Amino acid sequence: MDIEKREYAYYPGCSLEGMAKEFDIATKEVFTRLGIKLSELADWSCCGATAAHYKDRLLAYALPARNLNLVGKSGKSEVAISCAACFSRLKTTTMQLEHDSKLKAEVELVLEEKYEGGVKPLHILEILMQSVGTARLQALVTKPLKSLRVVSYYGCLLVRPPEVATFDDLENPTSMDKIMECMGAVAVDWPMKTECCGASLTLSKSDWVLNLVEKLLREAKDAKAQVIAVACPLCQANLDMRQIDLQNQKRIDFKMPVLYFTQLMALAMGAQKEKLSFHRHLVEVQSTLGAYLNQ
Amino acid sequence: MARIGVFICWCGENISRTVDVVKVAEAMAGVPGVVTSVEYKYMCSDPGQKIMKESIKNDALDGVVVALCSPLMHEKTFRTAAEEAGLNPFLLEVANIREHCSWVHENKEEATKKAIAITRSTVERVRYNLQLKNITVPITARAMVVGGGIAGIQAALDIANGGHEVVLVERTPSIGGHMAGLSETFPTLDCSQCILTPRMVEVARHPKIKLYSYAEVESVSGFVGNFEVKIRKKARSVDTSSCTGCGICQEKCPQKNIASEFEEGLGKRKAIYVPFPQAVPNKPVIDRKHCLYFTKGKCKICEKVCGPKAIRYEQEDEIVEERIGAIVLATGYETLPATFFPEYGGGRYPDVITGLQFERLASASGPTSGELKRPSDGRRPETVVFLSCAGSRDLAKGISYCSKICCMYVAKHAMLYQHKVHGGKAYVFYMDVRASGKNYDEFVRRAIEQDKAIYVRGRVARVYEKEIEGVKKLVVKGADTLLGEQVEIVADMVVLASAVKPSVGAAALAQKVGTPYDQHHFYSEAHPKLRPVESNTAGIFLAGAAQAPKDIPESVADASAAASKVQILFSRKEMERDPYVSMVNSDRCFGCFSCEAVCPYRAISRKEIKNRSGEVLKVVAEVNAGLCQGCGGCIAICRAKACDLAGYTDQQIFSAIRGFNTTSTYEEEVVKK
Amino acid sequence: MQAHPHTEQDELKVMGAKCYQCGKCSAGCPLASQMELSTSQMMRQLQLGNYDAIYRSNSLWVCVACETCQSRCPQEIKIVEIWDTLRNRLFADKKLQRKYATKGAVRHILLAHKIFLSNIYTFGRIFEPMLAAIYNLRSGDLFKDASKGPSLLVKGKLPLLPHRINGIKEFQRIFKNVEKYRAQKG
Repeated sequence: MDIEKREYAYYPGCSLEGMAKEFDIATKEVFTRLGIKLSELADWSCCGATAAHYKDRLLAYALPARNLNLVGKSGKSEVAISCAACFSRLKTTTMQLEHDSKLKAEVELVLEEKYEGGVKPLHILEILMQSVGTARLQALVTKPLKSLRVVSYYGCLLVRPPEVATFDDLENPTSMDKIMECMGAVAVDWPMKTECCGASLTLSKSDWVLNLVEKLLREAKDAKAQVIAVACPLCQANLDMRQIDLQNQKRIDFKMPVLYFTQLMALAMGAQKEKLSFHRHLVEVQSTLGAYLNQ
Repeated sequence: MARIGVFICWCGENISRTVDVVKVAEAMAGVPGVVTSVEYKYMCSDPGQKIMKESIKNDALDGVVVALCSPLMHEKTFRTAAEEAGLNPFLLEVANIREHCSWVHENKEEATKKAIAITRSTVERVRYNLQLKNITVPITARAMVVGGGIAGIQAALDIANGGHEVVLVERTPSIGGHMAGLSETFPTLDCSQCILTPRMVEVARHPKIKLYSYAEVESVSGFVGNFEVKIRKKARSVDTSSCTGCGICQEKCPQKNIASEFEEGLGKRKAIYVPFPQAVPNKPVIDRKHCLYFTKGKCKICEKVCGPKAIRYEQEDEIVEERIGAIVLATGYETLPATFFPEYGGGRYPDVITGLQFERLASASGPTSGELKRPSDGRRPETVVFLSCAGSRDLAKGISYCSKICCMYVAKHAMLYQHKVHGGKAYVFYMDVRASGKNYDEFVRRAIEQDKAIYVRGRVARVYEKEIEGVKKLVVKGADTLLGEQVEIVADMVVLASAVKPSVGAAALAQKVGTPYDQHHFYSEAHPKLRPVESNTAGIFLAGAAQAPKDIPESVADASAAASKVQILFSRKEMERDPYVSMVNSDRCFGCFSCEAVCPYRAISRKEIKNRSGEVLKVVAEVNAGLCQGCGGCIAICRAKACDLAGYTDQQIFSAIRGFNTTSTYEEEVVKK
Repeated sequence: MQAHPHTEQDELKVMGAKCYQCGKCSAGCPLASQMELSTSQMMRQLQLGNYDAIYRSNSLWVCVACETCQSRCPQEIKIVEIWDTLRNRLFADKKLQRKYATKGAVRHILLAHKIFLSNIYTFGRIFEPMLAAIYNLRSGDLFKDASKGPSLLVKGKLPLLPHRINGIKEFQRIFKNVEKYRAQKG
């Protein structure tokens, strides 16, 4: 286990500036309470997401490589990442460039600079579980989420491919569940922890995404969950926003708040509800979390 | 000066078509020391052999080279002939000018040159051949069989019925192996225990079989015909000679919730127990890890209730020694546990079970008396999904091979299920159906056509639990690759045909015995086709699934084959072996014993060299010819160049190499310088 | 009936040769129901070198690279890597795009990816409002998710002004250099 670090370079990723601003706020809130500084990387750029590796393999490694070099330049060797997709792209890049010298030479050619390497991308979930530890998390809880039934949704890139996402179990991840238990919530087991939500198809084929999301929400409901906890902005957007479409198109109203796991953590650690931007969610949060918000 | 005869064969046209044999004979005639060089159309024929035999006598030859086909073909023929003519057979060598020359070349001129080189090289080698004698070793006509499953039982019975003593070593408290736990057997559906238990009883009663149950092989030394084996008799905590097997101890033991190994964890047993009612020997054993007396220091109920006073808490492991001439390894297999399959929820969902667990559920002697019930809630499973190739043929899970028995037992399971749960639905997910055996494919067709098992061609990606109307169901997500569609089945139970692997400790035993195994720890056979039940170590034979996944008929056939090999060995009082073993020149040896360290066959021992008054002058290495396999490890490591291989001495090899490209002899070039 | 062509060996075919058609990939694929060829059928076509059939189906574009197939493949085939290579080829080849990607779902999905990339090219990061707006404009689906626009704005989910990174010039050079490098290599 790593010795607890006091400071990490921080790569929020594009969504956390926009649609997923509340993820950014809540994550920083939690880390501040833990006494860990997240120093945002100066002038970071997009990791390229799915589109880049669909278009060109080289581009897909060059875009994260630019950011990895920025981490090195900032004098840090570890970068904390909130978004599951950004984490996956950055980590994949470090792994590929480490053993593929031809690719590394190509990346350096298009970057017009040397790829320095030696940077370790870490998902915040990984930092919380492995460097901080549940005991310390539990110690900071002041308003436990007593009897709140939470299902944790990991989606794809927090567990796959397993050689990249190494910090949790491929078929039955538990890190988020354990954190939710530390927060006093009831971590409810459900079968859809790692089933895909349709991801980037949300822009072009939202009807397909709707089908997948409906299945996920139904299972969450069947598991008698009150809240879905997520760690990926795209998962959150799909699960939250598409509930409005399900109401409009299929007259199904799941009323299932979809919250970033750090929002729930911050709440349990006593953060002001105003700070946590629950109003930014499309599915209303107040009625489910009311009791916890007004503690 | 040597007197060498060279005899060159035409092999009809086989050699003469591409090699000018007359030229070869002429070339050899000019080599120093060659007193006769002749060619003949068929050297291996009687008249051909006669030419050689007469020449040996008339020309007083002390070395012979026959240039013909591969030595694998006719070395023995000509060496026998030479011996008949009064020449030590090891003074004759074969120059292979057919497989190594005429068959693989087209240009006659070049091929002839090569044939001359090969023959010349062999002449140079023969110059330094030594008169050797086959090695004879005495044989102890007693066998040890390790493993008391069906293969071990069969091997032990066959050898014992052949009139030889057998020591049978079984690790668990009873013989019987996996077969004792099976319900019914394919392709005839006869009850497994009904056909097995008579054999078990026969073992127990056989005057020639000495059974060590609850025992393990501790060490093996010696060599073929002369092994010394130490066997650890684990402390049973029961005196088997006074115990009557009445069962009262087991009945009264208060520790009753221990997962039974025999029931594959689906049933319970006591801390003092007989694994199953038909066990042989039918004597209990105390499981010290769970016994209240051993863990907490009190109880002793078994001792109180035991009529013949057979309980022995103070008993300790005992090491016994046996002298053995041959060993049969029949250590069998195990299957991957359900926990090996996280994508199928193995270990998380109680109704995801392995094939061996299903056997117990379906067995009349099992925890449910043969009634099919779910382990979780005892409900009758209305829908069961069988997954073949669970872990087999799965590189990602580290198992590249086919487990071979699953296709058949899955069909059997589907059948048994349909017989026990009328109207139930059985699905079988498969990749290929491999049912190549007598009446095997017919059996699978019966499962599909008569018993209505639904076979779906595809693998399952995931199994997860879901409560539907208050009942926990298993959702199976698979593919029907023939339709190109996804399939989702809501089942009550999932049975994994989990992969077969060698039993735990197979590799450790192989190391004790000194016999090779493969990357999966299956024992390696000496030749995959021609010597399937022999290991590469003389006197060690293989039977059953310890060598590769095998079903019952194959294991039994193996066992009988191995038993027959053992009896062939025992049919002689002593055995003969090639003399190609290491020899130590004790003048050169300075006793570093590097050879002892590298020898994989433990053939090196230490010998004291004493003067006349009995003082030890030095200690040198000595080779036990009975053990040595002539691998050459000692020769490569020996700094003093004291080791050499009989029949393949350095001098022979160097001389042969020079012979390829020279007209002068080794002696002229090297020795005289 | 389709003749099985004996096409020339290539790198992708070698990677695909390990597939023994167990179907575990297709079984777990979350988007299988939308695919014209299932994952294992795509692998079969690859083994035959039948690239036309692969590109004619929508599967390469329906796939969201969730990695479920690859992480469970018993033969450890790098399925996503193979598919990425095929997608890269189409992205790099206008002719292929005209032949295979001008209709239906494939057109829409490809368009979304292109707009995504041009969006980050412009700003260095994604500017979400413009992403959706341009997509709707270009795809002809003008009012898709438009109803959510106002509520997203009210909720502050959508930023009003784009952020452009300082190093936008060097960032854009990465894209240009990749294009240049590919053009040189042919």
